[in-house]
Parts: sequence; structure tokens; C-alpha cells
Amino acid sequence: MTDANESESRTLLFRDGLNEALRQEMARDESVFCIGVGIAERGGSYKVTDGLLAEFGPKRCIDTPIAEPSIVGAAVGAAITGMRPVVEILFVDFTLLTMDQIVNQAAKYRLMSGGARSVPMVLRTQGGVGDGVAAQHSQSLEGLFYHIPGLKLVMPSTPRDARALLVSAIRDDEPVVFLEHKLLYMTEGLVPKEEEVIPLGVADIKRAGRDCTLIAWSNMIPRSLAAAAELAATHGIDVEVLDPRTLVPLDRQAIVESVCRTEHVVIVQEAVRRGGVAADIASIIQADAFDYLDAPVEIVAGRNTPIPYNRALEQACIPQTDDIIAAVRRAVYS
Amino acid sequence: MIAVRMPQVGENLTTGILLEWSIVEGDRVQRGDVLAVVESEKAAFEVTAEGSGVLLRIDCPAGQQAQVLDAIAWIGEPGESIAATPIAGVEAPLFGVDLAPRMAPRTATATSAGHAASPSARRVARQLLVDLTRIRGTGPGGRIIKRDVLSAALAESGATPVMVGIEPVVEGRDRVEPHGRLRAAIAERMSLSARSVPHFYLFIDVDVTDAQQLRTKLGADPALSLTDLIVAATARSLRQHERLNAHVGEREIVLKAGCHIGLAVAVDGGILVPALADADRHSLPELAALRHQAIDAARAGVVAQKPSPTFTITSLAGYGVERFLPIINPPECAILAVGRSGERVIAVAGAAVVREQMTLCLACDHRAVDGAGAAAFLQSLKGWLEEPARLIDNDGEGE
Repeated sequence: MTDANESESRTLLFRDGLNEALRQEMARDESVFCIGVGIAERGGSYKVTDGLLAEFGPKRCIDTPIAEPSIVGAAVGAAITGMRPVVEILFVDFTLLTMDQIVNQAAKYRLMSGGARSVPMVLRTQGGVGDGVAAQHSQSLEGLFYHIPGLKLVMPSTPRDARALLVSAIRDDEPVVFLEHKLLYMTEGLVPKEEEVIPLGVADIKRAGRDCTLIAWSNMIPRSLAAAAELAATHGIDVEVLDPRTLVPLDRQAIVESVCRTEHVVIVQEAVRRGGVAADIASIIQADAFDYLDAPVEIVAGRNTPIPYNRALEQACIPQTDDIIAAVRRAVYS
Repeated sequence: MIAVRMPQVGENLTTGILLEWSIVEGDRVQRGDVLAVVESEKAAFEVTAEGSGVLLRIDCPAGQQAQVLDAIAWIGEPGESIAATPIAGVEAPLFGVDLAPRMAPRTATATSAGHAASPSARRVARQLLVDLTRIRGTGPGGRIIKRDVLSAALAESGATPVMVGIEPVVEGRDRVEPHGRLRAAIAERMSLSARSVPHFYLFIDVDVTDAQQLRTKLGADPALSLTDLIVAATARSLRQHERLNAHVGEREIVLKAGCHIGLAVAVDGGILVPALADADRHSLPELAALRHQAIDAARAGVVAQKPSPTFTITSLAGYGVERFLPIINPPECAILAVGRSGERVIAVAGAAVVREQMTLCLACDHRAVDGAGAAAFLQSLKGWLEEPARLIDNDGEGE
């Protein structure tokens, strides 16, 4: 729906969109700096921070030892003094080492200082199943952050959204967890040449449709769009794909409006089914759009299991295009 | 031991005919399994098992008739004796009073054989006045879903589904604007009204020269508009002609005790209809104040859910429209369309004179209102507006 106008856009890799946002904000605001493991000399494992050391110097693009709690602790402290740190933690799996800094310090500081101070920190990290990177490097842990009051949570699915939402995240005065998907870094998309800001909390209809609302985020968006194309081509089912883009704050209104129009809903998440964000969105829908539901809310989610290394088993644990197609067909009684 | 009972599939039905059994005595059944098909006056329904076990005995073979709620078969464990097992609370008289009629399962009246209906199906059934008990669901386990209600409504009206297959053509630089909730509600309501309510229309010209003069005379505190006078006159006319102040259902007319005048207000993306509660009990200045509040709130997107309007006024006078045919806002039974007022040359006692006039159009639901009654109402409304001083003398309480 928000496809950039081709004449004023170019094709960009997801990781380069993030890089552009960082460069732009570091140039705009001297209090913005990046910190993490291997982000300066190496330019980051996914090359998101490539070139920042040369452009902004070692005081604003800081390599650290492999010591996640210290990295996040330093960033929280710097943020309290008024800096705007952008932390990179290589895998979301490793943020578990930093949970005290994030949950007990960053998320609480605004309240406990009586509103006097806040923690304008962005925690960039990367999650999801890759290509056989095993149980400790494949998790989708957005549910943990979603659960914690005081944190915002962004999960972009396109280069354009990634760039414009990272700008908003950096400018936000609250701690923002910015969750990237490892399989999206090398995906391409149109990004406007001009600077762009997309506010946190605004969903995007990635594909308009009449028959069923498909809610997904991050790497489940390309998969849902593929399912929607297949459903239209072979079953004549017109699916609307809604990307919340930010899970906190969540665009409840856009979700409810879409559901009231289509009256059928499927929610797709890569994370495990139990205690997930999809379940919470389903509860919102049943409360706010009850009279408009023509079928139970379908959730397509990861299985409640650690992700196996074996590739076939790995793929069996997370939603595939065919799973989404089957769920939509159930939802619309096709 | 569970009794399988003849379902009550309609309010007034007392018996049903057993068309066929899906299973035979001795078969094992699971809760929810379809056991038999029964027929009422109108349609056939499935009977499902309310518990699991073995079908011990059939009391009503195929082709026979049974009283509604009578046991037609028994489910239990093999060897269980039917006669020795009274059904708790239903068969056994308590304190000498037979509670059976009250304690019998009444859920069967909700839908065909106790089948579920989706919330959307229930909502649409309420709007289209479709009786869910007469529908056979096509969803899993016989669930009634929205498309079942829509096809039943079409079948009842005898109409062909003209909308099916007529989709907008989207090409090139066309802009697709999905219906928001308000647009969707308007589309659904207006389609329902235009399709199912038999409208008829009456026009009347009203001389508002005196009304305009009165308005000027009363000054600007509060500023009265011609609309305020029309609302006041309508409310007082409705009190004299209560049949126009009514809600219409499929089986009844509800003559409303309160007179709550709805005003169609154009807002971003559609129309809202705030109601001026008890418009017949307010003086002109009070009505003017109420109207301003209601319109401001509606433009801010706020409309109180209660009271629901009993009669709606819609005006395109501000847009220079002379007259138009409005669509009734169901379940109301009439709507008044107000055209532009302006100077017209008319004949009075053989001479051409210039007077300020406007044309009103009243649309009525012929299921509830007939021509003569509607005309009498319009006559009365015209009278109030042409002798507007009475609107001031009459603060709404005295008659």
C-alpha cells in the first residue's frame, strides 16, 4: 500500500536502509552513538554499521568486548545522562544476559525517577530462524519484550519501514527494542531518496483485500504475501495483509477496522504459540470486534519447542506458506 | 443416560416429523454427532447428540411424528436400563409440581438443532430480521455463518443476489478506498432499507414567510435557524400522529413513548444521526441549544447510543437542493427531507404574490404507515410551520 513512488526511490537492501538511518541520525544529533560487539572495525556481522567508524570516529562507534550485560548497562547509563545510544546485540538470544538492565533498569527508570529522567536507548538485535543456526541462535523472543511495560517494540518487514522506523526509534525518549530478522537483511525494497519518519504505532496494509485479514510482522510478512498471492490465484480468496510494524505501541484501531471489514482473521507469528503476541492480538480482536467475527480467530505460530538444528525439523517448527494458506481457507470456510 | 429430544425449531411448533436416523441402535456416538434429521413445517434440521455413549433405543422411528421436547431416543452405556433411569430434574416432579416445561432444554430454540452461530451471523440476522432457527448452518459442526444468513435473507425476500459478481473494476491509477467501519455500517443499513422497506413519498409545499419573520423577531440569543422551527414543529406533529413516531419490525410496530428526533449530520466519511432526546418536551431555545451540541459532538465523532432516534430529519437546504427522496433509517418508519427555502411567486386570491416557500418530502414505510395517515401528519406539520407563533406559546408540555 505504501509502495514508494519509483521515480523518487531506489532499491535498497534492508541492512543498507538501517545503515542509512544510523548515518542520518548520527549526523543530525551528536548525542547518538553506536555500541556493540564487532560493529566498528568489522562493520557488524550483518554490515548494518558498516562505514560508521570512518565517518564518525571511535567515540561514536564503539567496539566492545563480548560482555552483553556491560554493553547494555553502559548504554542505559549513557541514556540517563542524555545520550542516545544505539546498542547492537548480535543475536536476540544473547539479550537474555542483559534482561536486568533492560527490564529492571531501562523499562522502569521513567516511572521510578518520577518522570524526571528517561532512557532514550535503542536496542537493535536480530532474531528468528536462519538457515540451520540451531536452538541458541534461532529464537523469536518478541513476546518477552512485549510483556514488559515501559519498553517499545519494533519489528520491521521491509527496507523502507526499517529505515523510517529506526529513525523514530532513535528519536523516541523511551527505550525501544528494535528486532530485526536475520533472513531480511539481504532482502530488497524501494526506499524513498528523501529522509522519512514513520511514527511508532501505525500499522501498514501491505496488501488490501476483502475476504480475510492476515496479521503478520517481520519475516512472516513476505511469507504471508506469498500465501495471499497463491490464495488469490488458485482459490479466489482476497486476503488483506496487515503489518503492525510496531508491536508496542500496537495499532489496535487499524487491526479492528480491518477485521470489521473482512470478518475473518488469521494471525501469523514465527515465535512459539504459547504465551505469544498473536494470542494477545486475538484477545483484543475478540473484545473489540466480537460482533464482526464470522469464524474463530486462527493463529499460525511456531511449535512449542526449541528450534532444532536439522533443517527439515527447523522448517517444521515455524509457519510455512502452506500453513498460512490452510489457515486462511479454514477461516473463510473455503 | 441421555435423552435425545425432538428439537423445538420454532416458537410455535409443537411437533416434528422424523425423516431419517443416521445411526442404528447399538451404535456408539460422540457428543455433537448428527443422529437424525427431523422436519418442521418449514425446513429440515439435524439432531445432534448432547453426550457420548451408545444409542440404546429409538422411540420414534423414521416417518413418525413426536411432540417437541419428547424423548425420541436414548444414549447410555450398554446394559443400562432405560425405564429405571429417570432424567434428573426433568421427568421427576418436584414438590408435586411438574417442572418439565420450564426445565426442558430451551437452547434448541436459539438455533436449529442447538447449533452455534457466529457472532457476525447473529449480528446480520438481527439487522435483516432473519430467524436463525430456520437456517441450516454450513460451517463446521453445522455452525451458522454469515453467508448462511445472507442466503436465507435472499431466499425469504425472493430477490436474486444482484450484488454478487458486481465488483468494482480497478485499473491504472484508480484509488481503492476500503470501507471504514462507518461507511460499511451505512452501506449495510441503507442497502437493507432500500431493498426491504416499501417506501412511499409525499411532498408538501410550506409557506415559511412567517416562520422566517418570527426567527428574526426572536433575535440572536440563541440564534434560531429554520431547522430548529422544523424540529419543533415535527416533534409536536409527531405527538399528534403517534403512528409516525414508531419502530417497525417484521412482526410488530412499536409505538415509541419518547419522541427523539434524529438529525442526519454529514461527517468525514459518512453520516451520523444524533438524536435530540424528548424533542417534544423542549422549548424552541432549548431545542436550538440541544441541536448545536448534538451536531458539534457528531462532527467530533461522538453520538450517544441512547436514546435511539424515533424519527429522522435530513436536510440539504444548505446545499441549494429543492427537494429529494430520502431513504428511511430503519427501524424508524418515516423520514423527513427538507429542501431549500426561498422566494417563489405564488397565486393568492387571484393575485401573484412573492412568498418564501420550501418543499418537504416525507418518506414512509408502507408496512406501518398508510397514505392518509402520513398526509395528515404532513398537514399538521405544515400548520405548525405556517402559524409558528404557536410553537412559542406551546413549550411542549401543554396541548
